[in-house]
Amino acid sequence: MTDLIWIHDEALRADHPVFAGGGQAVFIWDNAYFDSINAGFKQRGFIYEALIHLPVEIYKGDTVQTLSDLAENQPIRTASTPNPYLRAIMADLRKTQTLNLVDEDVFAHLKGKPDLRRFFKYWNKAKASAMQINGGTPDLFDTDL
Amino acid sequence: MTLKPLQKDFSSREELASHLRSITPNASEDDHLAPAEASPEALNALLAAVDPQAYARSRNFLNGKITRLSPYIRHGMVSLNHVRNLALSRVSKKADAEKLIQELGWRAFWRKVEAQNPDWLWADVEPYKTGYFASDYADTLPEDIALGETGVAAIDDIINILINDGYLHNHLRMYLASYIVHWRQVKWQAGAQFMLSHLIDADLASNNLSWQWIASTYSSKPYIFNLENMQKYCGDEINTISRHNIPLDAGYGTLSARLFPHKEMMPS
Repeated sequence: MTDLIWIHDEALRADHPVFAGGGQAVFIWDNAYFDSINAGFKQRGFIYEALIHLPVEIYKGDTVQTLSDLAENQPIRTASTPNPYLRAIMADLRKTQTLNLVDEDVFAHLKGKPDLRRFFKYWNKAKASAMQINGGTPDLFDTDL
Repeated sequence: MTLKPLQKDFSSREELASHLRSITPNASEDDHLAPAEASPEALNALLAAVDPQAYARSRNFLNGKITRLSPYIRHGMVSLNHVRNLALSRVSKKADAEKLIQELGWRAFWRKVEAQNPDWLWADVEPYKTGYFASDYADTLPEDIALGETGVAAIDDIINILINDGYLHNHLRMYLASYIVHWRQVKWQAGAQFMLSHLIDADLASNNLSWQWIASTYSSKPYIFNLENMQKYCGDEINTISRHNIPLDAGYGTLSARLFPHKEMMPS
């Protein structure tokens, strides 16, 4: 059974890895979600305009409910994210649906766990990888945290 | 149940805006799309213009060679990896692309912070280092700021650009955030919410954590600026005439003493 591809507002390009493998792709126009991330009219317009250019159907409604109705028993595939509002929606979805996450291309592989108290503590560890095409060879670095 | 997909064919951007108003609660007739278009053509034009060396030289100036890619990066229309690879391909020495790639690194950093500490998106990471407690700052944004009618000409110009374009040069974001938090003593959260509600690249991680950096709740000191700095970087786009910007027109020592009179008395 092919996955239903759920495109959210952080993966609006046709060559995003989430599209690999094919399947019907949908975006859920969820005003409650937009409100939760404080998206204004202009940002919503930017998102809608981006969707016009993608092989995606747009459905209006609550994200979890609409995706559940569309997927029925199909697994759902979507782009992973650190956004806690999207993660909360994903946690709700997992209660009734199979959810497969696809990562974005890596920017920098890091050697060891980064210290996130200040940017330059992070950058000093990330720079060697970040300054190479595709972040260099992962084997040279311990992890891609 | 059969669900019906929303319309995707529009004859013009105005027709799209009209459709958007019809599906957006509380939208008004004054709501319009931003000038920046979310199309592959617009993105490709920006990518074609990426010039890492010119960026490094001029990015702090309003008319500098910035990329304007943030709305496209925010929405995954282009990846940090792609922009980094492009930057490296445009220079003969890697070091010439470092400033631009480092700025991409800020975006990667904020997203890692968001993943590890989602509470930090709205909660103070650390105390203010301004001589004030968080409770000394106002919870809500004064109306004159929301309307761009503060009476400080440069600040009103920035607010009007934000409202009309949905986009601000990074330096203007820093000036506006600093004015709201440090001149007006408003909690960074109220300012961050205001900016999010207008930006087309609004993003909780990049926006809110940057506000905390300005406020000093996620940095070692508050960020402040003065009119002379604005005059150097803004050119004619912003009204930086002294008599129209009196609260901003002083040296850093004077401003720091005026804005943070209790700073030295606070425990570090």
